[in-house]
Amino acid sequence: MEQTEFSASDSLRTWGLLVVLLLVGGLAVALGLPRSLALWVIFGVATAQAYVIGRYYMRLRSEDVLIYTLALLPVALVIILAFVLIPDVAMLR
Amino acid sequence: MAETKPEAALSTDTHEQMGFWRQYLFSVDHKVIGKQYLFLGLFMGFVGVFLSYVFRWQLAWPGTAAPIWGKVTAPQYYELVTMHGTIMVFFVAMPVLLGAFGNFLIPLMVGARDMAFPRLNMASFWTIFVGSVLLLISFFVPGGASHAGWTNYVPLSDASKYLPGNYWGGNLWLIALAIDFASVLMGGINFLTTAIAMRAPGMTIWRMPLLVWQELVASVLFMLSVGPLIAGVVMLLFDRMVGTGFFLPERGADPLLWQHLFWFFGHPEVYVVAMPGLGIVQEILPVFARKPIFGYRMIVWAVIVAGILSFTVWAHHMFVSGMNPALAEPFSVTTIAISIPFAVMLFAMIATLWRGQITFSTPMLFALGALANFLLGGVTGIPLGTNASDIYLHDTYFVIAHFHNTLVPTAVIAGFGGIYFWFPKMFGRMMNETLGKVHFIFTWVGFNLVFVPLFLIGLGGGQRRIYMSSVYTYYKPLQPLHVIATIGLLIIIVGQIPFLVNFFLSMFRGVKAPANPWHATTLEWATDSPPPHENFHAIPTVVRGPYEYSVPGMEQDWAPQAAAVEAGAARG
Amino acid sequence: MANSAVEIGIAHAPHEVSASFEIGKLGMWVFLAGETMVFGGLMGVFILVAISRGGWGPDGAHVNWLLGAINTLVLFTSSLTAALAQGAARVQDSPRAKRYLGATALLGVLFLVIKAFEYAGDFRDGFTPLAALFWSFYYVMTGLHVLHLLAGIVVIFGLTLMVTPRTPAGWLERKLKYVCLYWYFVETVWVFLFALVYLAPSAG
Repeated sequence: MEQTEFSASDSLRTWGLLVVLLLVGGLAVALGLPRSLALWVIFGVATAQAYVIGRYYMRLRSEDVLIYTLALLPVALVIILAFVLIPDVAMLR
Repeated sequence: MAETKPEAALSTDTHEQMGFWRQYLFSVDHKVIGKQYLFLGLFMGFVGVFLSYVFRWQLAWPGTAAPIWGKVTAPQYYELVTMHGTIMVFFVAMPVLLGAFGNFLIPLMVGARDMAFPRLNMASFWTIFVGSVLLLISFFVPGGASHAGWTNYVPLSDASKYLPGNYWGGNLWLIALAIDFASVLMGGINFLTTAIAMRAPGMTIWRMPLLVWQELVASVLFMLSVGPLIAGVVMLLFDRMVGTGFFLPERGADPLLWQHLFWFFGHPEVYVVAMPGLGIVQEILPVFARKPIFGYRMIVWAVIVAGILSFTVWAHHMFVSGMNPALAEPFSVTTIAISIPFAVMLFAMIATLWRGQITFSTPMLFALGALANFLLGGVTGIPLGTNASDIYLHDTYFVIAHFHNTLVPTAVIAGFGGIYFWFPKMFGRMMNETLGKVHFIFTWVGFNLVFVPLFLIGLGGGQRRIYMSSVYTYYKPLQPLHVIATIGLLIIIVGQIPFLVNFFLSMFRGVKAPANPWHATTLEWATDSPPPHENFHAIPTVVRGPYEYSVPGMEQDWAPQAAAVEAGAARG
Repeated sequence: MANSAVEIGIAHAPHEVSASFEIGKLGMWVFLAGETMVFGGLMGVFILVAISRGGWGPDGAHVNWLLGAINTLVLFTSSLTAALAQGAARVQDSPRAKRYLGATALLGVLFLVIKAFEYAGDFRDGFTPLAALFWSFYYVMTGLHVLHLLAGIVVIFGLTLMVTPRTPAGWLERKLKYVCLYWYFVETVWVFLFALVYLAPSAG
């Protein structure tokens, strides 16, 4: 499957989206939002930015299942590792 | 760049004109690189065996001088056991099983002309070469090589105050390991890309030889498990060299974090070693039983399931470490579960032999010996993987005997089998069968003489990593077992002499090998011995699976994977 | 596991020729999967340690998140130019692709320069790797990222030098398919680093 073109307008739109998300994250800190809300916003923004990069720059959607797996499986594994480590590393002593 | 059409790197008419350096030292040809890995791995293997000779001398006859080395001091003892393990796992097993066999065979077995990225391949060899050199240099720095165990646990390995005088040894250990990891990662990129994207026409993934499957799953396991350890190595290097406190309890950190990071990698790592070794056995058995491998697809699924499960078992190395006890039960369950796919594989291999027409050639002897001992190793893993019994057995010689009965059969015994099996293809000559059989008897009998006593020592409570066991009264009844084990090791060492003689003499003076001396079906046997630079005169077209032996109705007892018209082109 | 990339590979490249663009991209994804485990491992450990301490507290309050945000903007712009370079290469407009690639490399260098200022400022204020566990993590993670970015800059800059009028058509487009992929990956790592190491410790 050939990838779709990197048209200038597509790329600029992606850039704009990333910058808007950056501003949202920055505002969450600058405006001094309460901590838990701010953290949700910050990590939500990061996830959204990663999704945007993955979808529009890396063209993950138009790739094969194999490449999809190569991209996402490590993320799943890291989450599993972190999860298992919670009782040992993350629990307050 | 590396991914341009491979034949640009393979023009046959200029290859002969390449100088010595380009042809033998800095070659991008996967066959040359595979042999380089083999020589490096064998050399490091002899270093590793020498180290074990010295510490086993100390164990059998404590306080006496080992010939060549002399008396063993306590720090030296820990240096010896540390470096023995480190060298054998990271600088022998992986370079030989992945670097040598993987590199040499994967392109041939899938019908490609070379790996996907030949220059990256060459870089991977020289990378591990540099890593090996750095590790050997660490013996000669002030304080010697690392004393912290091949697992390098913190805080002992973290700061000079805990292990004084081992500063550069410990640092070089970490750096050499990181370099080794980089090399294997580079190799993995090549293995996966080549097997996925460069197979010959007709070579569907379900027609790939099992060795290729094993190498691929091993590469994936390595690639996905080593990352967190690399992170840990960087953090530990910072602790040692910059003075941070990532793992120091007195700075508020959790030393168990290192153990988790190490074993998250360490457990898949042992399967990275075991799988190619089992793959070698799976290639040899059908050929010398003249029977197809039993349950080909079942074996493939078993390998994949074992690979997935291998990420869920690591804390069985940490049952007594003081980790949160809530983790013990789940990891016990997963560890017992992972024995199932391996049992499936082993039963399939035994079933392959059932009613076969067996020839006890040297490769077959090594394959059978590997199978037998791997069974013993696997079964003895069960009491170790169960948290209750592991509380007694952890850190005893039972553990040592268990993992040597899994790692040695796959890395060494199967490795030797693979050398005898593919030597004709690699070097174009046959090895001597008599010397091979002598080598087998000394190696295999010697090996069991070493490790059966070690199981008994472990059951008797004999702790590992003890320099002078004679100071403990409880150890006294176990001491004769240490002597037997050391004698077994001496037998192994003597038995390598016929191998070395055979290996080097045959390389230059052996009987010239035909293309297919074993009448085997896989693609590497469909081309000359040794193969031409471009592997095949014409890329074969694959028309059947890899283990078509003794198919009812056929005139001969084997049918090559490649179509008949191509077999004629591969002049024997 | 039927795989259309492989089928294309074999269809376009029956015997002698490998499916060149596909193997480059596939090899790069294999590499990136391994890299994800390295950075993911570091980040996972960072998060767990933070949780165990109930946040980094005053230790993390002095990180210069404004400079970090500016650097994020620089990196986003550099990936824009990288994508524009890919668009130009696709229509075989090599001179334009070269310019965009050069801009990408320069923006990468700008990131490094800003980072150098930031590190210098932190050191001056006493926030060395030994100042607190937070700062140890900060330097290891951002340092590793810097090394990866540097490697990317070198490769992209090298590509701009290698493109001449005599370069065959499609060559640059094929290269960029996986070189730019690496660049986007480094950018993605930064996105999470920025959130973890700059924004989160400064929040609330």
